[in-house]
Amino acid sequence: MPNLKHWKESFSTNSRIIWMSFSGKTGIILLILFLVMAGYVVAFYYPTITTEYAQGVTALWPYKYPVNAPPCWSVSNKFNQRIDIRYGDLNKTGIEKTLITVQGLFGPIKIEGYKTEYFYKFKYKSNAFPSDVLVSTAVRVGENVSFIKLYYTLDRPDGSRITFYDSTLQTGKITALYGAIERKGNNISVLPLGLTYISQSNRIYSFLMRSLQKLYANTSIIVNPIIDNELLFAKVVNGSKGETLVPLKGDYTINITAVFLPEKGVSPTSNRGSVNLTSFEWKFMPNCYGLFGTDNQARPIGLGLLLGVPFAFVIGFTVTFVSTFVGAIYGTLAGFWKDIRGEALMRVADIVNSLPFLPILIVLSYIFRQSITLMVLAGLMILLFWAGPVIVIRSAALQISEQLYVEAARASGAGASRIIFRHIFPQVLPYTIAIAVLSIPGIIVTEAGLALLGFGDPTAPTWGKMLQNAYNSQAILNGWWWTYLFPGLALVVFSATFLLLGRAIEPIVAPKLQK
Amino acid sequence: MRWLVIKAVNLLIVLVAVTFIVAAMTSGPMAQIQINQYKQALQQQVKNQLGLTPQERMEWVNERLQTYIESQGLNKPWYILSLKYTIDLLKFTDLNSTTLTSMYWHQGSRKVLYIIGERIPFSILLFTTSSILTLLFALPLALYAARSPGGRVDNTVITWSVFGVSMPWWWLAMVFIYLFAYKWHIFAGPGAQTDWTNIVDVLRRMALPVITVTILSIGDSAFRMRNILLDTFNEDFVTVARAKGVPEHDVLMKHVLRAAAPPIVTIVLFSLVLSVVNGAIITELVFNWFGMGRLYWDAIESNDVPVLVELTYITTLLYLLTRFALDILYTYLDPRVKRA
Repeated sequence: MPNLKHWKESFSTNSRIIWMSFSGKTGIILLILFLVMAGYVVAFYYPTITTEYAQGVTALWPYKYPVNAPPCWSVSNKFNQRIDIRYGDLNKTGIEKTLITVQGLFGPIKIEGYKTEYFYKFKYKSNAFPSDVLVSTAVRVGENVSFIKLYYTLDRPDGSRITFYDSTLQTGKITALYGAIERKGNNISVLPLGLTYISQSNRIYSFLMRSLQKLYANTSIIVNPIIDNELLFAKVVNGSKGETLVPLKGDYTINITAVFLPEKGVSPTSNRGSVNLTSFEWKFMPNCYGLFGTDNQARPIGLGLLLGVPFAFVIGFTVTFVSTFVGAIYGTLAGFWKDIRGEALMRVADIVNSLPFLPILIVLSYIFRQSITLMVLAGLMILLFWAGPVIVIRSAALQISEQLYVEAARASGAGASRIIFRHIFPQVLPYTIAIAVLSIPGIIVTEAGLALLGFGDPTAPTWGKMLQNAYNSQAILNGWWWTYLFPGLALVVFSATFLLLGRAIEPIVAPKLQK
Repeated sequence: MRWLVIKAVNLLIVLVAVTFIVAAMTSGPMAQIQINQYKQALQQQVKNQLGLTPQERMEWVNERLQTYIESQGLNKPWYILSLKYTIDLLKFTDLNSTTLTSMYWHQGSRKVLYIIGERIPFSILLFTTSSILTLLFALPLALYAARSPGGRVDNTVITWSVFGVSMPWWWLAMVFIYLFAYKWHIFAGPGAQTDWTNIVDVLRRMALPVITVTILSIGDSAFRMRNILLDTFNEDFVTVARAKGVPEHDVLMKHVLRAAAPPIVTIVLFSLVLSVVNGAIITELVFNWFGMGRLYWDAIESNDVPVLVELTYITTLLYLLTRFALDILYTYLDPRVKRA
């Protein structure tokens, strides 16, 4: 390769020229930063975490992150107290004898039964509310228990009591009083559920609702059907803005008491004749998370921003480089053939160029929506965007094909393909680089737009999909500004990187493009 | 007049090509929808046919359905079907929607043309207003920028254009809605009650979309204008005018601007049209604006293929006609352009 030394030299001078301009410097620094991030994601997160993130596997996240938590720098009143109550933390009394009052035929009857109690005391010290209260509780009642009543309460420092459960249970079964039971092989695990996610069919719901309504009966506070976890730890204060909720600090006690009666001849301590708490966990999530917050599926926005980087690169680079390469060859041919063939090629390119891209892209994506992947999207975009650079490339090729050395090559008997690929095309290539770099932002923005309309790769956590999730969860109305502000900013910075680079490259590779 | 004919022929070719592509991609579902719609109509009719056994009723429906399918050519292979739908679209033959109905024009009608027709004015209103505002703001900015390239104004214009291009419009729309409508309550938000037949209501609702679109397109427009102006500054007649001692202000207003006006008007308008077609769809969705872009979303959400197909056709048609009109405007404004 005789050209190698020349290329090396021109590369070093050119990169120095790019580095000299402000936009070039900024662009290169940002590009390196993005490349490092993309490499990090590909090395450590691809493909498991990226897919999980994109599909929003909520079961994996709630233990780790709060839901809809704003970034910590924007929250002045932080919930900084970490409360994490596990099964082992519970105090347990042994099985004691007690008198059970049962409704008999002629009024209440007292029977001698047994009682077992679990309790936990904690101090609520924070000035703010937790973002989420995650709770999982499961109780197993033996097969030979003839009577069971369970009381599940939270005693508050002001002497009031919130009831979670106050009723009987099915025997011979594990009952989830909170959260959802999931079967994994033979092991039954209880997934935690946030208080706000309790469905109305959950056993807890009606008890909790009734008890909260009673607690706030004399105030203007309305207990919403979606139970707000603030209400557990709140007291009403009359301020300038009317009645508001502030945290009620002090000692709280979680209490779970089972009163039961085993069948005759069955020991109350045996597995078949007793009542046991099989799983218990309470977790209070902080009311803010990191620099970027979390979304409505408890996914950290910051992680999403990082995970989106390689996908932005993939879609941007695939579309631009394939379409610019196709367009470059096409334009070179159109410039080389100065007869009817070149004219025909230009007509076709004109037609493709005057298509309204987005409407057609939407129809195409709609048709392929069942099987849409990042590569299908890229293919569709290439189909529409390849003709973009043709006009510029053709005029460059026209000029070059009139140069003396091309004439000389032709005179010395070089064939058409040799002239095109050996003499014209390499000269045209620099133009294509600038065009390719400059068209990346458009591609990224288009992809985000399609994602917002629902045409996104289900396994790719792109920034567009984050925006779609924010839009679909009514984030604007709910005031969760961090869920759409940061992905959008990431898009802007990523696009701007390539615009800056393109502007810096332009004067070097194609002085004519400057106009 | 030859150039006019060539442009018109070009327009027709593009229109037919787009229509055929869209029709070919959707011919299968479209035919199925048409058959289902006719079948439903027949099943309604058969209820009036008294004295028929269920067996006879089914035969009655199937017979007519077969005749209909054959008369309409719905059992033909896909390329014939595509051709049929292409011609249908080009002729504005009435298609019926599957779920969407028109809201104001022939209220409750299923005719796709009514559904689209009532939305067109809203899109045109929104984007014409913002285009005019963009031109009004961008021109002075471009003049200042072009007078001292590399100056502070020039750099602002360049940065502004970078952000305007690299930003999804609808994302800024989301941010603006949060700030101006929900946080500071300055403008009406996308959820505001709007009577779309009441002009005052519509105008009140229009403020935020217009501001957003205008802010975003000013940068790019001003950048393009600045480039055209800079080119004009380097022309010989400007040097001559300066050499003659014409005051700088007059050079700018009488010589440069006169020569640069036609390309400015057309190129900037053209890039605006382009960005509107490509950016309006999702911007309208985010603003919940009762226009064609919002209709795209409605059609996708309700799987209404006929609306989607016809809407794409009409968007393409409007887009191409605007391009055509701008082409004519350009040649008319600029006598230097050879009409060959």
